[in-house]
Amino acid sequence: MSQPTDNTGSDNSAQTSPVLDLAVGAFFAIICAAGWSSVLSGKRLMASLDAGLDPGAAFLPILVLSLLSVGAALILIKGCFRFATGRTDGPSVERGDHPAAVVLLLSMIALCVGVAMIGFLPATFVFSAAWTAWLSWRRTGRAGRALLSGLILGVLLCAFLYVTFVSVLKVPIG
Amino acid sequence: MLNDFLSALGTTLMSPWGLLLAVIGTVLGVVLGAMPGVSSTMALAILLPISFSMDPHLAILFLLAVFVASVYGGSISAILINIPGTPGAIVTQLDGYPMARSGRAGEALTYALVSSTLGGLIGLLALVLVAPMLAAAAMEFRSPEFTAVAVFGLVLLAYASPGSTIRGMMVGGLGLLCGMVGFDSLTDIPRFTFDSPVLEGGIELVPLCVGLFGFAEVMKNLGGAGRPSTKSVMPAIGRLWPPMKELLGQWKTMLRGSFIGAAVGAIPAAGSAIAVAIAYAQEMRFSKRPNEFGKGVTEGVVAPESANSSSIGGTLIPMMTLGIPGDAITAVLMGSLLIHGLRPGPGLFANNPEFVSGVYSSFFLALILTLVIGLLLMRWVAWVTRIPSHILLVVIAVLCVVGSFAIRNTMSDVYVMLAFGLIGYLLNLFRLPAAPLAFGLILGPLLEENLRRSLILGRGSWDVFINSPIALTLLLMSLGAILLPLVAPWFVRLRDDLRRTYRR
Repeated sequence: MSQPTDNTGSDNSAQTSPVLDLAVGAFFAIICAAGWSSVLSGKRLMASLDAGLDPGAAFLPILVLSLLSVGAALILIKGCFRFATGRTDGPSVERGDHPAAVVLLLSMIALCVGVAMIGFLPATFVFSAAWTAWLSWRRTGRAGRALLSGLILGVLLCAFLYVTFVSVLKVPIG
Repeated sequence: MLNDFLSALGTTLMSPWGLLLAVIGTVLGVVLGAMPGVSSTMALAILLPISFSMDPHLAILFLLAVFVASVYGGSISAILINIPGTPGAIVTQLDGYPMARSGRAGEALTYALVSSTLGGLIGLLALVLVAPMLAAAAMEFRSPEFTAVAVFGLVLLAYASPGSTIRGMMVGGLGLLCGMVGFDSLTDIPRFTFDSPVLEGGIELVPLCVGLFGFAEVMKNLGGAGRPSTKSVMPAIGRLWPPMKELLGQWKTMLRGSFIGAAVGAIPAAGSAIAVAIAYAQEMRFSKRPNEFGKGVTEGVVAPESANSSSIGGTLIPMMTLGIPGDAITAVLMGSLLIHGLRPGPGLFANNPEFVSGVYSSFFLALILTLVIGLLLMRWVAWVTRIPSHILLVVIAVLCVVGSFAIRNTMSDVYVMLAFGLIGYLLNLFRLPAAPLAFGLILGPLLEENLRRSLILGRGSWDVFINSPIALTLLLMSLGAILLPLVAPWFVRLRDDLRRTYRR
């Protein structure tokens, strides 16, 4: 595992690569587009702007979205300018094993669907056993041992969840 | 104050359930903190749901025990295998690991534990002395002052995050938008709900934190966990206790580190990582043998560990008195208080003084238990660092799901957690800090409510912020913090030009 970061981002040097600028700009632009579409389509929300002394429920959303939009536009312009002038130095998008992350996310969604279909503990057993077996197999290359470790972890984890959350904390996952 | 503290401590000590919870929290904190890659924030986020069904006093006791113990736990893997368990232990490894390699692993762990305990006690003292005064001063605050405090807090929190300040503020802005999701508290108009029933109730802080600090880290580390591992060589623990004279001889280093930690920790978002770096650098300056730092000097472990632990008390000061989380860990801790219907801020001191005393006594008990359990488990907990990371990640992923579900027993919180896990992963991908997102969610409602109330009171005029000296000062400081990164390069260039001119 990598060193803990508390997810506070990486240290950036003064200049970032245009690829990173364009990615960050696009990220905020997409969020702003979704935000503006929600605000502008809300008739009651927009009407609240003319509600007397109260600046209205739309006031802060519009203020924040405006600032974010300006920021996103400036980052996009900076990225385009640096890209056009061939200045590609500086840290770029963080590297990582993205396919594994995407598969994990999809399997978590499948776990949520599975919870509704077969119940919390059976779905958790399938999820944890499958992931542990696959990761163990990738680490050691021994299929039998990986399968066994997956089954053992699945059983132990479900037993822990049952004792802690169902028996002690009375969370309805049983 | 002392009577309240002793009374709260006595109540906890007389309660077998409370003591048991504190012991369990301490053991879990040490173990999780010692696991490479599990930060204090992650430890707290995945254990938070366990506290939901508890009485608020017991919940804060359990969580503080986890928090305090995980801070010490982080130093175990830093000393033994050169991988810090928590961000605050990054500096400890510089001298801790060389000490361990030279056969003094046990001594290094004991130095870390003792200095951590003393640092924590000084941090607690700072909290007990400063917090009531700051809370009393904050009782005089009205809407314009609270608006300015929220703006100042947000700017400072983004400013202290690594990377670009402006980008940190933009992530904070995204957090503000997340805080506005759901029905507006004054007019009941829906905002950013996209006609989804999941979003109508707003975004809860806990699933956001579990997603950002728990699930996003699992997504980030999963690929690496599947690769064949090279087992790190763990040195033998050896003798635990250094000669008493040498241990007591470190008192000046412990005090210096502790004061730096408490002071830096009290600055919103400065956090333990900055405190330990400053403490280490200062100790090097004071040392008669600075060249030996990094090769296994005792002061190189004692100074950062005392600063690391004392910063806990510091970070609790702005959280308890103003409702501004000192760092990501206190943001998660705030989530727990909010779940229990307790809003940190000056009102907490006025309306729930017994709870505040309970926090002090829980903090004290957590420190003492960490010392005792740390010493008892020292030889055994080292084996925790050998748990395969892929098993750890699968367990954490499942706990993220169960923990989010346990908040309101609904799957919608699990989907919110997954969404923020994805956002946290993307933020890491784009080298953006994730913590301002949580800060924005916490400070957003405080900012909006007070901003609108101020404008109503000022009959639509913004003069209310100019007429209040406190609000004006805080807003000007916020403006300065925003402008500083923009104008600083210009000043540096001007200075260099002037130097070149005068050299000619």
